[in-house]
Amino acid sequence: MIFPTERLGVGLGYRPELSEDLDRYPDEVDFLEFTGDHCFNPSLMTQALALSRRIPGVCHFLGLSIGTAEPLDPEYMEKVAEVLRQLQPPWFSDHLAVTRVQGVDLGHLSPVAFTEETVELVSRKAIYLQERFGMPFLLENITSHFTLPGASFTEWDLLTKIVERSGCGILLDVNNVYVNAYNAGYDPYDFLRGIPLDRVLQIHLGGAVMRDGVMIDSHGHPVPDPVFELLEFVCDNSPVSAILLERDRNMPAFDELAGEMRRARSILNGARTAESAQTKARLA
Amino acid sequence: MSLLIYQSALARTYLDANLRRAVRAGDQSALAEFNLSPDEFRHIQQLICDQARHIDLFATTLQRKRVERLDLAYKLLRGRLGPNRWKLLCDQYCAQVAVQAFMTAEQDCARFGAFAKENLDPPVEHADRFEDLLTFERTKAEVDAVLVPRYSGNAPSDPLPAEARPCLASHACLRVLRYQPQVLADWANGVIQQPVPESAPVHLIFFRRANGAEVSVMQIGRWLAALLARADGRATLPELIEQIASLSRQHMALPDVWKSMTALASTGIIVFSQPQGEPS
Repeated sequence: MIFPTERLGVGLGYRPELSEDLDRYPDEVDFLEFTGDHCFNPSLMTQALALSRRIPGVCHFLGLSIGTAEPLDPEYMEKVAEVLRQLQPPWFSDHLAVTRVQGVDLGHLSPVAFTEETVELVSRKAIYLQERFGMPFLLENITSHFTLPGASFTEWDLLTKIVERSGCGILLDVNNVYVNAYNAGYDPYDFLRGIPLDRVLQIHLGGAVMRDGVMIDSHGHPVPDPVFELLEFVCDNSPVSAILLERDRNMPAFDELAGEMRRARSILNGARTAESAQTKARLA
Repeated sequence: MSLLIYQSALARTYLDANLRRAVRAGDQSALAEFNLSPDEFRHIQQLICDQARHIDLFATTLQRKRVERLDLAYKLLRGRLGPNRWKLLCDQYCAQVAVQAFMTAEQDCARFGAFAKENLDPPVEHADRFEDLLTFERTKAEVDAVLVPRYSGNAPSDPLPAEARPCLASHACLRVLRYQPQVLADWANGVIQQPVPESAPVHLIFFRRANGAEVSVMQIGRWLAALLARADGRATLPELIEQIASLSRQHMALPDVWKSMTALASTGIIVFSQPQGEPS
């Protein structure tokens, strides 16, 4: 699978309430990420299609449940196919997670086991997805409050093995790396150094919040500085095409989102601040 | 143990607090449906016990997300009930449905509508408005679509015979509102303090075709709504008009009723049955 080399820039997840701001500030958002599952709804699909004619779009899905030890749901796959046929994004993505098992819909992302069996079943599905749709498929790392017992390797080893075996790409959620590292007590740069950064096409950038002593990926808070530092490390070492600012709740004024996007854009474009130079020195 | 069985058993334990308690207490019958060996049961028990705090936190996240979806789908009902009563209803629902057959998020929201209808017990004087509110939000949750009039191309092209008997389509998703959605929203948000009068002149019908793909909403007058309510495929139109004549001083001419009925038939809301042996 040939990965696109064109740089999309910095974008936002599309939400209908953003429409006015997208009209008012056309230069602030380089691309939009459409949640594929929302596009199953014909009226939202119509909106997405109209927008994608003037703003580049990528497709992110929530329900492939690629980590489940059963075949991909054919009915869901038909819907995915229709969305991709209509929107024709440069790639599509979903999470390295389990969201549905034998008809049980968890409604959220639950972790997979870090085992060879998972590598095998996810790789098979990733290969199938790329072959069926003829475009790159990216796997996103999730946050998890716990690790299933019996792990044979680390989370980054798991991701690396799947990417190497299947040829799929990575949608790297740097905030999820930060959150998991904080909660599990490891260095987030171990994660970043452990994965094939040359396979990172897209990045998710978001905020987190502490709840009961645990850091939670909230999608509702500003991006903390350490996450921007992780972003900088990744951008320095990978062919990142697109950075998405995730904000689903506690929506601030558009100016605030635009400020975070500008900061991300400056990192993507290679601008370096004094703080980032220190970070690099520390990492060297 | 196969990975699939392991994942299924885990999914159940994430979603069901009672099940987690039972597994932690060593009750093997709690996961009996998965036919686990004692060793396999112990494996899951160990996970749930060793990482109890994090598993429970994850389960809380699942429930929070679930309630957030209900919050969005039933915004008006939530506003009308107030935070405490709404929370109680959601908690009751999540506790009950966790041990039932599982469903998609959309089905979950739709099922909540049925649950709320059974368990809400609204004040008698507001019962009809609560019922309409639930019908409205539940239908929206089910179809997850903007409801706009959409007519099919299946309108009968030939005039129907006078003996044809209209019948309201019996599909489960056919629903009738007595009040306009905006009136319901105003009432739910407290903008209208007084109860909406029973004689509200406009009714709305939500309709979803059997394949779930087509959705229509139609606004009709009270007179026609009364006619539809009696359209069971047994009476002809003239007979139906006669039945409801007492409801309105304004007499509706048969040709006008035909016109309305033809429009309804084009959406599939009305079907016509005819006496056997007669040409269509």
